[in-house]
Amino acid sequence: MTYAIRTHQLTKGYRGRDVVSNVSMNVKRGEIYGFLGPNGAGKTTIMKMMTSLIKPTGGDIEVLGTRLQANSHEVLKRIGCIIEYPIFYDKLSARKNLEIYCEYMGYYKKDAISEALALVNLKNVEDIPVREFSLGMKQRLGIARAIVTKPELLILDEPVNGLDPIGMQELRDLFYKLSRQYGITLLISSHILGEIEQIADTIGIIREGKLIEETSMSEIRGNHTEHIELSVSDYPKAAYVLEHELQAINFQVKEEEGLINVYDPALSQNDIIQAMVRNGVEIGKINNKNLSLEGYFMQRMEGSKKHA
Amino acid sequence: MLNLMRLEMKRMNFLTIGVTFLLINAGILSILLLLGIDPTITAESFTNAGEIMMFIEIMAVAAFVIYASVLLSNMIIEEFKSKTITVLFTTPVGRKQLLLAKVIVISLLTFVSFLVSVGLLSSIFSLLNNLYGILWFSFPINLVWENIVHLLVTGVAVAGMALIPLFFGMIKYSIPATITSSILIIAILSSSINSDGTNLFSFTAVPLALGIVGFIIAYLVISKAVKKDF
Repeated sequence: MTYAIRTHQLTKGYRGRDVVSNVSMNVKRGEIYGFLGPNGAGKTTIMKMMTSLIKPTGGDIEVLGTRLQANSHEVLKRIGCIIEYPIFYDKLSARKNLEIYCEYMGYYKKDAISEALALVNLKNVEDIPVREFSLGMKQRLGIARAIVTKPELLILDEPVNGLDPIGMQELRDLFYKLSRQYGITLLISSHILGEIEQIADTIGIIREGKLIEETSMSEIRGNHTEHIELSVSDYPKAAYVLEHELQAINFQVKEEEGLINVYDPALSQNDIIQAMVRNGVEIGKINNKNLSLEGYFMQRMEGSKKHA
Repeated sequence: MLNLMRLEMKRMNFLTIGVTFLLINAGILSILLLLGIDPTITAESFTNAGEIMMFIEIMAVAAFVIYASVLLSNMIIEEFKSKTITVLFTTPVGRKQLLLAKVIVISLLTFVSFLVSVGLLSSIFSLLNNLYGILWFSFPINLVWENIVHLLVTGVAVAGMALIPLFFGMIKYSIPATITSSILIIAILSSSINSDGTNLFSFTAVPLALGIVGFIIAYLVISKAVKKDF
């Protein structure tokens, strides 16, 4: 397995306080990595370190096989990025902005700019100065700039911020296409889960500068999202029935709420009802629960708060 | 490096720069022509061709040091202020090379403008003086060639001096600070220190020292920006 980005014990401190501490992330080549965390968690700081905009105070970063050092700017040629919010030469047109960027990137393919603008759906506005653009248009132009040089790695910081739902969906489709058709690795940060839930292959969750989880989406879906919620009065007996009669391995008893969550995909609602009735356990209610990543995320956040 | 300088120049508007250059020269020339209005007043300050030559130099230095501060504002301060420099920092161009290219372009342009301007103004004024007798003494064109070494040294000094405003401008990425400081430098340099019209600029060592200070400042500003987090 090759990695597009690996960080090892990455740390950044400002005035004695660690904004990012001991983050070890692994972004595989070709995948879409969703980088989640509330505002101020350190996402932008980490992304800035990956693009050499700021220097770590500890640990190291390997990007596309190159270990980042003070003068390793060559690798930036293979990376496209938007950091924080897209910045442009406001007085210049969209096309001119991309032209300047391409020249500094050392990329001279002629049609690339028109192609990139078409991909993000910015047609007929390429000669208008960027200061007349709306926030959504600037975001699109930022993405166009990031992809114009056909990089191997895209680092996008909150790329769908400021877009309407249709625009978001369009861009999600674009990201998916870039990943699957062109084999580009994408690292996309967001504080809104729904934005990347559908396309991400791996999710990294960061909170207060620490990476608290890094799992593949399929694992999260398999393990946590779907379950049957059971409300019973006699939960010790219900648990006994689940364990011995139904051979359920994966279930969780929440005593204070009087709930049992059954995560076993082999069991249907019907199996459980029949077994409970046979054993005389009264069922208050039974529900199929589909916990979205949002719920899972919140769960993780609360969990880590308790530990802290 | 040459390629980076070419990119910088491509982004500059040479039409505006050209027009500004012509306007500056036209302005200085009209001040020179004013000398012909009242010979008694002129005689209080100027009694020989060398003094006229010095006057032309001071005017050109003043104009192009201030103009350089405008270029510094547009090409460096503004890029830091609006953060567009961070976009360039995410390209495979080293920060040091990028900023050095900008500084060299501005310095070179100031150097060339200064020399061309002094040459041009001296020639035109010499010609007009011969034809219309603006002054009661002659102002020979070959004065430029006799002073060429002095002019070249001053040119280098001016190219360095023009970078001093970077120091003030980069503190808070302020364009007003950049331009104001350039005017202050010129004000100090060209003000008379005694009644016979001697000023700091007439001692070649002073502009030369300031020129060196300017180059050192540019070096420090660049190395600070290379290490900085953005």
